[in-house]
Amino acid sequence: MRVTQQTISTQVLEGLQRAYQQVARSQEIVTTGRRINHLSDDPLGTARAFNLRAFEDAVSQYKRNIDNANPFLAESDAALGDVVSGITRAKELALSVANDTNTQTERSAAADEIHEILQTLLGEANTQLDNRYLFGGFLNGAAPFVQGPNGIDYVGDNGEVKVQSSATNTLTANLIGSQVFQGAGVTGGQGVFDTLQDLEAVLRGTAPANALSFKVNLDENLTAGAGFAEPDAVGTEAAPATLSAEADFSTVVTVFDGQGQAHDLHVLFAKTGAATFNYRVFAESDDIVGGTPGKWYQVGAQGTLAFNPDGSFNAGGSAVSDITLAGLADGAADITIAGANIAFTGSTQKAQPSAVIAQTQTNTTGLQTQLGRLDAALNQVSSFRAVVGARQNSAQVSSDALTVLKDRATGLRSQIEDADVIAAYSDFARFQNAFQAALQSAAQVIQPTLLDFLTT
Amino acid sequence: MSILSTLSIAAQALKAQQLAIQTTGHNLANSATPGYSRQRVDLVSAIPTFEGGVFVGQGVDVQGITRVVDRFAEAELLSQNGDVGYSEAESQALNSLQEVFPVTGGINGALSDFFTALSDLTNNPAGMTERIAVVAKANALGDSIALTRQNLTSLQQNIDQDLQNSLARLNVVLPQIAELNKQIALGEASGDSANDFRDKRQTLLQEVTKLTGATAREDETGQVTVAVDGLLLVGGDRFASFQSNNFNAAGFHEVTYVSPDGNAFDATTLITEGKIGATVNARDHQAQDVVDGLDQFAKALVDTVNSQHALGFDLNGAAAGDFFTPIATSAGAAANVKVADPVAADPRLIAAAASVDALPGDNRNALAMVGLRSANVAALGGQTLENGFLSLIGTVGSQVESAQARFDFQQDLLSQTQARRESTSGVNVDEEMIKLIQFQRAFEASSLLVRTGDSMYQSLLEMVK
Repeated sequence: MRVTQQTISTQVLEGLQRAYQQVARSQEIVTTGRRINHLSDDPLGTARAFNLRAFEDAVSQYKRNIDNANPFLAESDAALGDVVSGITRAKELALSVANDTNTQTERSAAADEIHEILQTLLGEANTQLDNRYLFGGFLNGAAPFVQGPNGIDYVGDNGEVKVQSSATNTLTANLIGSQVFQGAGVTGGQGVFDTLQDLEAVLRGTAPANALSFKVNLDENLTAGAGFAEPDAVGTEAAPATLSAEADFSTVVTVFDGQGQAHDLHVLFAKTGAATFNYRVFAESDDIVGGTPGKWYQVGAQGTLAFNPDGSFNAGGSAVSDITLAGLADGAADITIAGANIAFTGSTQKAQPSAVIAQTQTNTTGLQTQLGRLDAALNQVSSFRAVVGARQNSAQVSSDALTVLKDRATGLRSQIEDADVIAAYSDFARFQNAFQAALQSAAQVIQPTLLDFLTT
Repeated sequence: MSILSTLSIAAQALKAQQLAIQTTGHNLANSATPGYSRQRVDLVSAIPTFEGGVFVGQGVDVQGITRVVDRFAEAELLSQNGDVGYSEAESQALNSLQEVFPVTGGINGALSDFFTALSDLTNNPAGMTERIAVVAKANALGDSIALTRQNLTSLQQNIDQDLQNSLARLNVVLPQIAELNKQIALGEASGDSANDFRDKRQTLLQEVTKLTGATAREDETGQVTVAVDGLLLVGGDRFASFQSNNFNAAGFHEVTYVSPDGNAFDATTLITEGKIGATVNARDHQAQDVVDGLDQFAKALVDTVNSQHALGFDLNGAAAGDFFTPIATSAGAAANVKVADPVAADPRLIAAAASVDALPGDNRNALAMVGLRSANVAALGGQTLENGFLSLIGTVGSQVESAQARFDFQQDLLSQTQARRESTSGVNVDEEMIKLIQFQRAFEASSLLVRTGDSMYQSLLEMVK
């Protein structure tokens, strides 16, 4: 092949250009420390790096969410700790004046202190963090527990404040006040404040003999069912499932007999109109001598309830009958609750799905009864404290796992988009050498022509 | 046979060597001229005379000056130039296109920041700081999308400007080819070769094929007909021209073809090859597809966020309005992503709550909005927002990669063909120097011949004195 000066110079120029491009490219990698500097460097890798970065962002955010929820859990734990001590102290007080030898003065002093404890616990239940009430559900902008005419009312809701702790899991940052302090929706639930109030009344000697009070949710969204089909007679036994199916909603209230034994009363409500209800009360028949285990045993005639539009009780339109638990299996005296001592109030508070939002129960056959309720309340608060503890634990575990996950993602992304510095630098040195070699050879090959050798 | 004929041989030889030296000089002078083909003086021995029973040589004759060319390589260069013109323009345009999307941060980063701000809001749904941050991050996201779109548009405008420059260049080159056609036909009518005109025309033809991917065919008179996709560019001494004073719907220049007869029509979609074809394709398809994709992404983002937002309630307990200013059609959507004015003015209007009865602690709607990050969006072909955007830029990246590879390959091919052409037509200075010496010696020898003839005459004249 014929070679001309132009051939050589074109070749040299192209070669130099190519070598210089390689130098520039490896120089870019060395200076940025990144393998991918343009989309086209590795289109697939770019997309993966973007995905991993988004993943890292999300993981960091999950961790931040957990860090954010942690103070709420810690504060809830502290508040519940205080509540537990308060209840324990109330129990000590009650025990210290339980003997017949104690005078009314001593009992009144104890009642005063229990009143203080009640106020303290009310403060704990209204604990605020960062302008938010811990136990108010979603309605955490205002104090969830307020003093009402019949005791302390819950004006929060059932909202669980959840934050994302992973792509699929959420962490609940709050406890619902009505569950913790009023036992709403909790099996065998006790009202902490109600118990303390009743205890105070018992110690002062002003409590009625036997009393129950119910707060009925008049939520308009609650639709009426078919109503009760079982025959209505005291002593009727029926299967719980059948009865529960007939009722629109129900609640359980625990009463204590003279020997301090707890007996559950199932109160079933059937809606009959916008603000009218039928209700029946059943005991568990294994509490009753001669009862069939597994069945419920009706202990009062069916009552009817009517409420005014503002939620107040319409006594004229209602019929409330006595409840009597006779023939108790432990041989204790009968428990009688007079119709006059059973109180109903309506509420339009939005605490779905619990239809009966609170109930108080007073049985003054002895301090013993109230002590039993205090124990139940203590258990209830403690079990919620355990829930908080468990959440704190799982938050810690998640947080640790997220840290590992993030590190791994960062490592993976670094593998994709970061340059191997040593390889990059040695590439750079190699390309630079090649470039210099090309320059030198170019200098030598371009110079000589025949002209250099012709002597003129 | 006479002394006179000896002198005549010497004169002829002197003339021939001088011509050869001049041509060598011409070659040397043009050794670096692009597109120049070396020329060669074709020397032949003159027709001998028959005298006294023998053929007597009559010296040297110049038959012509020919241009040394490899016609096959020249034809191949023309067609390869069209391919290189296309892939070069394509890879340049796509390279600028990919630089609009940085490999870190950018829209992706802003999107991530927006969701992070929303997630912070779930931690404290009543917090003003969190709400203000959500508005700020959403606007930053909108700005980032709008900026990207603006960059894309100005890129399209640059490409459009490039197209105009190419057309202007064609308007300069085509008349020159037509003029050269005329000169070559005139010059070669006598049978000689119009070497330098041909070189010049060849260079111009290469330029035209690079711009348009046109094909050139030479007729028996030496004139070329240049046509592309059925459009006649040059035929003999007639030539077409291009105008770019019409605009299409998107506001870009149309390629208006004006035939040699003066008929004008829109040929934007007719020229699909060469630099012009690639430029039009990059402007109207490759860049436009990305713009459309970005618009689609922007509309999907606004619609998705708004429809979830509208399900919630603001901090004042009112049913929520739009979070982003709603966008009716996807055309131009990317320029208009911004937080709705009422929300921007009062961040309390962000609907973090799912229920009007659960204020201020309800964060369920904010949680649902965070959930949009991993939700599949039908408008993006069932991808998440992030992946929808990633597939958009992924396409760009792959296109650049393959366009670059194509360009490198075709450039290599072209270089090889150029080398082949150069090996035939290129000027080797050393070779020319040797020829120069050779012709110089021959010239000196011929001069000596004159002197010899002269002294022969002298001898004859002295004989009769």
